[in-house]
Amino acid sequence: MNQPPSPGSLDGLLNALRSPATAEELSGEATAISAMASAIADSSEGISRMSPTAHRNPLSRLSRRVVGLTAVGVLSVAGVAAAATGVFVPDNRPKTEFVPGSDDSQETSVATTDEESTETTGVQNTTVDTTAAGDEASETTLASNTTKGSDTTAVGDTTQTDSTIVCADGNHGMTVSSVAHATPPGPGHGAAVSAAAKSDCGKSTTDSTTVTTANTSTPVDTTMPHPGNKPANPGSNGNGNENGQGNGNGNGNGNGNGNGQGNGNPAAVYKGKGG
Amino acid sequence: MNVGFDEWLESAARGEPEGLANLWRRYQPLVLRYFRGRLPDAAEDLASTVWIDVASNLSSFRGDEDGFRGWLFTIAHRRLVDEHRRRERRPEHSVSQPPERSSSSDTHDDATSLDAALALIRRLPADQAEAVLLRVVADLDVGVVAEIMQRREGSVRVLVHRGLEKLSVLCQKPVTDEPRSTMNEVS
Repeated sequence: MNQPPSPGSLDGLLNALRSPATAEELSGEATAISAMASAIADSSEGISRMSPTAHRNPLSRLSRRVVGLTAVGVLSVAGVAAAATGVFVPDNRPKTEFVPGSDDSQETSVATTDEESTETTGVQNTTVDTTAAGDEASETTLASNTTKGSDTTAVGDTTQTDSTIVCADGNHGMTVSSVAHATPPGPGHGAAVSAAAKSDCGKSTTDSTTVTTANTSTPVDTTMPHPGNKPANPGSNGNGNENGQGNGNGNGNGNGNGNGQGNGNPAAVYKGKGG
Repeated sequence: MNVGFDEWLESAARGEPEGLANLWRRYQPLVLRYFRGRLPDAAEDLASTVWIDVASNLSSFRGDEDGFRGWLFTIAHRRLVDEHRRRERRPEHSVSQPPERSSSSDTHDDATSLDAALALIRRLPADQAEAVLLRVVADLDVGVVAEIMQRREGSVRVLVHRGLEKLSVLCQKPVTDEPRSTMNEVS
């Protein structure tokens, strides 16, 4: 029988396994070396043909994915949060915050704006001068007087302070009501009602001065209609409130009490039917 | 010696024949014995495949001689597993071939002893034969063998111990039959 002999012992077996290479085991060296050299050449050519991104670390690709997903998530959450908190103001209008003053007739308007050159840091006094009264159609001119503590720079319509209101027939409340009805909803509605409420139309005293503290540099933000915004009814306690920024109280008894925050557009001229 | 090996490695990575020849001469017998201890009929082909893989990926290798040996036999182990799977899919190749070189001589020269030793190893269970070959022929540490075989080090130690114990018994008997572990799958 052709049987390989037994190594005899375990040590002999292990020595045989660790024995030096035989000539037969080392045969075919030239063929093997040429094959290896060609394999190296092929691999190097393959690397040179590949794009630079082909040998990037897979971890770096994973990192890029993680960073991209994280950025998308952060931006989404930030966008939702910003929308929920009202950071995004429509029309790039400045956000106005009203702080009630100590007096009912005075309200301090703190404006935060990044628009143009309007920078209001002080308090502006607005004097309402009534030039005509009585049964005839009168015009009330709202003159904004930037007197003290104001470094406001007038910009466009938002700072224009002259307006003329034509008094309607009847008492003060009717005037306010007519203005409220005549003014279409939208920007300036509340301001118009406020201006009408502040006027002395239909009042017994024609020479009254109302001192308010207003911020003339900020326009009235009337883009969001207020649910409780209704014009004053004639003959009743009219309350014109537009977004909480224009508040006109008209007393149907002819004693009008105009209380406005002055955030409207006083440049608008509202003409009513004279009584 | 390591300095020389590093130079060989760099030279081989550049594709220089001298460096490739030095690596091949040093490790080809070990790779060939490893395969002959498992699949003697495909040992030459598998060894050639391993060297092609080594040459293709040599530029990406970083490490010393021990690391290179571990890397080399990791590739060899994978090629062996691939060959086992391929033969499982093709049953016509499942019949093991006789050893490529059966000795007809009674002399105990090196070649004959080596053939006899490999024949005995093929009679071991597959995992024991694998562990013994990697530990004895490839001269790898237990940790490296454990990584290659994807086992715990304790398991590898047990496999080697049992394999050598069985080889010790088999050494006392003449080799009378064909190996039994040729086609056993190595995990």
